[in-house]
Amino acid sequence: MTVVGGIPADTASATARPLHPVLDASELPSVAFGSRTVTWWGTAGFMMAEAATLAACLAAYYYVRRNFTAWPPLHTPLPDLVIPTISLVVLIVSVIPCYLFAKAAERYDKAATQRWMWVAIVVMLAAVVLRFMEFRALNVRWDANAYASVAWTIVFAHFTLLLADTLETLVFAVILTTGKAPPRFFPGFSEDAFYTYFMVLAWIPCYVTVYLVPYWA
Amino acid sequence: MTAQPVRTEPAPREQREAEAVHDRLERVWRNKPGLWGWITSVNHKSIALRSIITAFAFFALAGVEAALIRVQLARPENSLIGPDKYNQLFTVHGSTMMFLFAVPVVQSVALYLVPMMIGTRNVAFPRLNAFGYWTYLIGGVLLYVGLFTNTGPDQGWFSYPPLAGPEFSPGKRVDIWAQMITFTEIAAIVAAIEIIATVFKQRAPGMSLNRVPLFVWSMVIMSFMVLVAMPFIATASMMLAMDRLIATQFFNPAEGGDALLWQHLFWFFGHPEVYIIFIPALGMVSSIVATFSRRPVFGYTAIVLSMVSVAFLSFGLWVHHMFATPLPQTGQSFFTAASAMIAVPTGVQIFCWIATIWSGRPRFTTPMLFVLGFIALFLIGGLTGLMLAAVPLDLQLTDTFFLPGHIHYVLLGGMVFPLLGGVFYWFPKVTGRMLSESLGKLSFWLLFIGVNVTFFPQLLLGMAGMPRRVYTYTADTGWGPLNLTSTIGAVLLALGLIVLVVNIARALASEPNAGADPWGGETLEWAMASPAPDYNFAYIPIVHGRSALWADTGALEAVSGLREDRREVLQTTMLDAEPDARHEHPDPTVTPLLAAIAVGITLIWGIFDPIAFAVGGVLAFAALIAWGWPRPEKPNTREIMEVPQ
Repeated sequence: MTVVGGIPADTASATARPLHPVLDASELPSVAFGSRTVTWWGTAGFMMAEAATLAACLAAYYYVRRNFTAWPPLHTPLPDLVIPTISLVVLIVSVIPCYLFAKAAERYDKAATQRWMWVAIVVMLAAVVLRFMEFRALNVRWDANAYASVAWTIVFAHFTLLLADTLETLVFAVILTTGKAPPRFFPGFSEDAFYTYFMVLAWIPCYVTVYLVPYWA
Repeated sequence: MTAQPVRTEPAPREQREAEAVHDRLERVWRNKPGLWGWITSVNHKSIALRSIITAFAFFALAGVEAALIRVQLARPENSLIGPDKYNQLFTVHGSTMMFLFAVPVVQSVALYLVPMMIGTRNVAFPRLNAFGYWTYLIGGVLLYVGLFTNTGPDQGWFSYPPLAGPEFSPGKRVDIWAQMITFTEIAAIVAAIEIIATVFKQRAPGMSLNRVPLFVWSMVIMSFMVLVAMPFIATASMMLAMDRLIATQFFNPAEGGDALLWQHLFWFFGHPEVYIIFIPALGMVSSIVATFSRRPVFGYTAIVLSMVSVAFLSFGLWVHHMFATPLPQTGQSFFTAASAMIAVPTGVQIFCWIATIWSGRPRFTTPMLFVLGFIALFLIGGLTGLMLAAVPLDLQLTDTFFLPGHIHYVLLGGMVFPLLGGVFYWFPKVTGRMLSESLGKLSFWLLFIGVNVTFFPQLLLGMAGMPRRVYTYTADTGWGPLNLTSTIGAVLLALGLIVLVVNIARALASEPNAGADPWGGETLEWAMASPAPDYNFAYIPIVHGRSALWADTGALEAVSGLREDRREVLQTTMLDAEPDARHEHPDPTVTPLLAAIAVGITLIWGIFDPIAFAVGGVLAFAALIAWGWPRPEKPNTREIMEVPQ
């Protein structure tokens, strides 16, 4: 064979390259956690896309803000703060049971995972109910003006994340409680909590924008 | 330095063992038979191939629309197509090319080739991959049902309000466009997540990040861009749909909304979109240049860093699409400078390829000709882009025919040419058959001359003041001869593509003749038989250098021990690709299709009634439960669980 500059002049071949096993993977773990799993990376990818979605909504908020001399616009009442603030606190509290069931899942402690998961669901369902009430707390219909449209959209966009996360946790809890969860599901439980952390964190700038900025303006 | 001797045929016993392994893996990894097998497939090659074919079908439809547009404009005051149909044709042409062809086709090529190039058996989330395809298909069909029922969008592919708003575009045409966007963006985002997770976690042992093929790098970079850019257009199109359906006021100036908000959101997606299409094409170019210059691409690190810089810079350019709107002077200057700056990393890459070809032993096969054609055409596209980056000139040229001329040089030259080079390059791998070189070269020359004859006159027409998006013009404008020339160019383009179709049909009708590695390729996909088996690699190869197949010329070292009675893949560490874990993949299932149908019902019904989102949400939830519900354990399951620290 002619070799030029370290590269064979032509390696064209009619047959597939033979593969010669020198390493054995059979004793590698089949269940792993965190960034060692593809699920973690998949979840992180969705977080990135969802963060971009919320960023687009927030950008729209601050963009239309420039079109008004008063904020909220004239004849539009300020949003209530009580329900949204309780809702924010409940959402932040939900992180605690999520953290506890994630840690339990990483120990394969089924009983503790199950227990804390149900606690998390109760808290998250409370957050869902409160979020419904938040739409009323905005004190304006979505079609009143651009301020109302964008405030509703931010609250609603994040609501879809909250609802999806709550439902996912609920399905996981049912799978776990009915005894159908094999060990390879446990990393998924841990990722579920990972997603909740993101979902709660993402709400904070949205809360500040929708509820506090009108008071500061 | 001497090469290792090429290993001769394996001994009969080894041959028998290899066949037994093949049979076992084939039983586990192949699709189910018949139509049910087609519907339930979660194999990356099956899904990517159908997605590539679907994208080319949309390309053909967009080509027909373009041909009709060119025939209409061939002479002054032509009456073949009226203004309303003409508006629908150019809108659907642009929307198809951007959303149903360009992005899906590059992502599908990635989903086909990336797992093979990095030495794994499937993409990271096989069901999500299938879901993405079905969603894309439903979105594409929706647009064409609209067109064929005279409800085709007619507001232009970037859909500016107030024209696209409820006041000036009553009816459902714009809503169809907006929902098509939602479908295709969902598909694009899930494909991007697929690609990132697959590349970060499933590379062959030894393929550390600094050995990842440039093609794969290009696809990873494109995927990150998709994750940031696509949500902006999806959000914007949702706002547009809501303005039209439930009377939100985002783009209505009377209630404090802003038509320019749309332009910002759209172009924050729209400019990176050009690079989302273009960067994968650069990856294809790198693969082709390396193989046909018979040396690794010069300046690997420089090329990777250039692609990353282009990705970052592309998010800082969007306002140069809006120079004709009232912008602060500083903003104009900033975006002019940023637009000029992106020429630097792009130039670095072009110089690296030229250095590769210069210092290698180039073979001017058809794929290589397409690469050279790309460099020439993209140069014109890039230079006309620099002209448009200058605000005073842009103000003169905005909304003239110069724009279609520029964008077609960029996209046909910058994306379609490398893609066609890729078709010629990888066709043997996909089908086991070679395309004819002589017909290939004929296609190339017809297309290369065709692009110039079609689009150069459009640059001139733009400078002569002909506006874009007008269905006809009067003879006294003097635009007739250049328009006729452009239409003749379109005929050459059509001929070039017809020759390509004939070439493909002839090859498919012939006996397999390609062999595993007809070009002497550099990357791992050429280590497999052509077409590759359903499981890709019987054992996962170990990589010893950047040029996986040139570093080892004989047998490849490999990893055994993955189970052969279920779909198992090897996971490796993110940076160094050390073997880390085994991961079981799902069997074929219909649940991704059901989930896509639920999304389809939601979005299409949602054009008419917002209640669809509540009902569709329940349907989608049901489909996702069916998707994720645990299946009964398989016999002999032995989990090895790692307890983290």
